[in-house]
Amino acid sequence: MLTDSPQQVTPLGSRLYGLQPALLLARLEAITIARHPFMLIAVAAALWFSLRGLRTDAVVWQSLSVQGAGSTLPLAVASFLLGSTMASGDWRDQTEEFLDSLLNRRLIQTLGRIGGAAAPVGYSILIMIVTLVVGLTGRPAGEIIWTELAAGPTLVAISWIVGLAVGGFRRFRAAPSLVLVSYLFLQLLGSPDLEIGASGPSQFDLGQLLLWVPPSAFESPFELLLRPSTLRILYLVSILLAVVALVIRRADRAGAGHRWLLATVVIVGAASATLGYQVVLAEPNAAWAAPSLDRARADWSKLTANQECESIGSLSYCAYPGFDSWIEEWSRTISPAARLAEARVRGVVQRPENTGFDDMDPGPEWLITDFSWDNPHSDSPVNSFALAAGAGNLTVGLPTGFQETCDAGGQGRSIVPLWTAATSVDGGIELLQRLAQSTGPIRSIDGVPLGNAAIGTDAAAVALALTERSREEVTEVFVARYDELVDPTTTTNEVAGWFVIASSDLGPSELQVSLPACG
Amino acid sequence: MSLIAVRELAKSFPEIIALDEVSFQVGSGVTVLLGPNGAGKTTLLRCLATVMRPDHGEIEICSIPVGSETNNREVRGQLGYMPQAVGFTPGVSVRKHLNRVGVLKGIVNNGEREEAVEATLVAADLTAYVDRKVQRLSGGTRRRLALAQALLGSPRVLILDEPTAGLDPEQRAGFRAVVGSIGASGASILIATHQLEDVLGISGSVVVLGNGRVLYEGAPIGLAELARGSVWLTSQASPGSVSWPTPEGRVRTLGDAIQGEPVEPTVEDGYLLLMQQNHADG
Repeated sequence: MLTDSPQQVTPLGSRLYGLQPALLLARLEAITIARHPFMLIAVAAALWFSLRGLRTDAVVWQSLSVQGAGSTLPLAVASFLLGSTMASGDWRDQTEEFLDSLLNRRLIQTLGRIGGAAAPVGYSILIMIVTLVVGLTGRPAGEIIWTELAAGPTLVAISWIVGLAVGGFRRFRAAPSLVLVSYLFLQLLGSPDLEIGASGPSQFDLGQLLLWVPPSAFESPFELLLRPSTLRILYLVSILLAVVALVIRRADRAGAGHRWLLATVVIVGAASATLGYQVVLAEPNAAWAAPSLDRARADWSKLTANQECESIGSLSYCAYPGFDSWIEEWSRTISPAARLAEARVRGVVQRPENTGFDDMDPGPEWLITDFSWDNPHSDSPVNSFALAAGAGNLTVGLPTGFQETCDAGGQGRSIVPLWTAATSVDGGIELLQRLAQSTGPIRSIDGVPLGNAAIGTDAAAVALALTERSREEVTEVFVARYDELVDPTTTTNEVAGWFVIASSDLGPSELQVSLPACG
Repeated sequence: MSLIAVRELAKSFPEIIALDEVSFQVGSGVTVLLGPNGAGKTTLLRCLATVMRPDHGEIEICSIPVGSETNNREVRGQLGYMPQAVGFTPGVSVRKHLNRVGVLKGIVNNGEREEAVEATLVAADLTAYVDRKVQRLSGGTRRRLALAQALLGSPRVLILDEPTAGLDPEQRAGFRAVVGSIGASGASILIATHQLEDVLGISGSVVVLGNGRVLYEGAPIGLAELARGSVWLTSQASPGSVSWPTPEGRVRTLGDAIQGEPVEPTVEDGYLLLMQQNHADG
């Protein structure tokens, strides 16, 4: 029953209109959103996306920056849905009439809701921080791209505000669903798996601008060059300001006393949008507007020219800026192989993977590594295994790096890269066992290429048998019979015979590949 | 002193004149706004609550003219409004909802707001529901929450549209007690309702609307007096007049020059007679 106790209602002091209630409201909205189960699920999903693979490969800050920003996609989707639900609730739940009678009505309520973005944006920043901290434990190299990282929270904020905007369309109730489907479609378009964005349109156009919106799934510094982070964040901030202006404009129909605020936001939004347009579209001769591959080639050439090289022993190691912390790892990995035929190996250079830019070929005496290395927590050191195998390839004249791929099936020298890799890397023997048990031909391990020669499983079986001998004994035989070893006509059976290894248990030496034989 | 003053207020919708030069004044205490469905009560209350703009005419709330955004804001600071259609944003508890309303009413001091929320929860008998999500409240409890959010902050003017719809008899009695006390404390309460028994005991004045026009403005007793000499107990219903059977087996009939026993008129009789005349006038 209603209680006869109006005297208990405390007389209140002066009421406030404006910023202070908006801030208080923003705090209330943010707390509600932060505790919403849907948002918490999105946070868990974003964390999973962000941290996945961080204990497999060594951390490359550039990639992690992209991955961190891209991982906020679940938060962006959740923000959009919650924002649109909140805005549509005004008319769906019939709260408008009462809310319009209050001192702080539409504009202040909307400002408070916009401020509610603090929750999802805060979560996304927290996820970035966790990602960076975990990244520190993963032998990190490269450089953090702060502007790329900032794209994550910015996209979350945009999603929230767009949700608020479309949720208010009472005459077009399907708007939130349509926008969400379009957004996810855009995300799919931005996927490198579809090869749009990286190598699709050769010129920047409006369509490609749309591809700058979704969180990127790109994880390679190569692709990052095609979509400069600084320009992108400018572009995203412009979108954010424009959407904020739209939402405020709709809430402030009366406009009295707040036109200055609206005008400020609109002017800033328009200026940013114009800037974005000028930067991205209106200067077709600018370097970033050149055809994507040409621009990437030019960028890589410039970066490669700035590589710093370090000498360890008689070998040189050249890394891109920020990656010199891996040089010691490279040296430790290839030095056992280099001892076998040092004169044939000049060192290791870092190059982007699969670019096909021949002008970046350092020459056949150089081992090439890319932006992948093993995480110290990984129990499958495939990257160091591959580099050591590459060094083994060089010592016996098998191709690596930019050289043509060939068929080394049955050739005795193909044992050397596998044996070298297995004995140079902790955990290498286990990886070699996996290769020996495979059906062949052997060209890579877990997707990481082992030089440019296809090798038979018979070579892997001999190499595995050799790992039971002492390294010195095997090296001594290889050095003593080096000319025979590098002769392409020397077979795996013959090399096995040098070590009295029975050839009856070896796998087939003929490979079913359509490659020229390694000469 | 009038806390609500309305002069020549008009509002039209396509093919409907909702308010037709409506004028009246309301002082402190409880005023009941009566009228049939479609009489313009809700439109009038919306205009008073500043959520709808009239076509022309003047409204003053607490001597502040409604119209400019600045004035309207000042008026809203004095208002508590309970619309006919009550809705709440789902997902929050009763306490959190009222806390949010408190912020929107401009009560920015946390302690003051918490105190106001607690007092309102007690006044609206919602203390047992403080942690319940608003979407899980029953119909009657939702009405009480709607009343509570209107009461929050002790407004000087309360505008309530059908506040007792959906309340059980005990809750309606409680409502009368709360509203009566608030009215006695100097606030002005304008209640639109069909349920006369809920409010006539506590109201000092009545405004009757019909076809968008004020048909009566004054004390309840005056409304009853309008029917003096027009209320009869008869043996059978008289064609064309408003009548209904009584428990004693006779028929209570409203109208002039009817053969029967004259009886003391009530406010309801006066209201019904007004409506009958209004229909007859077209």
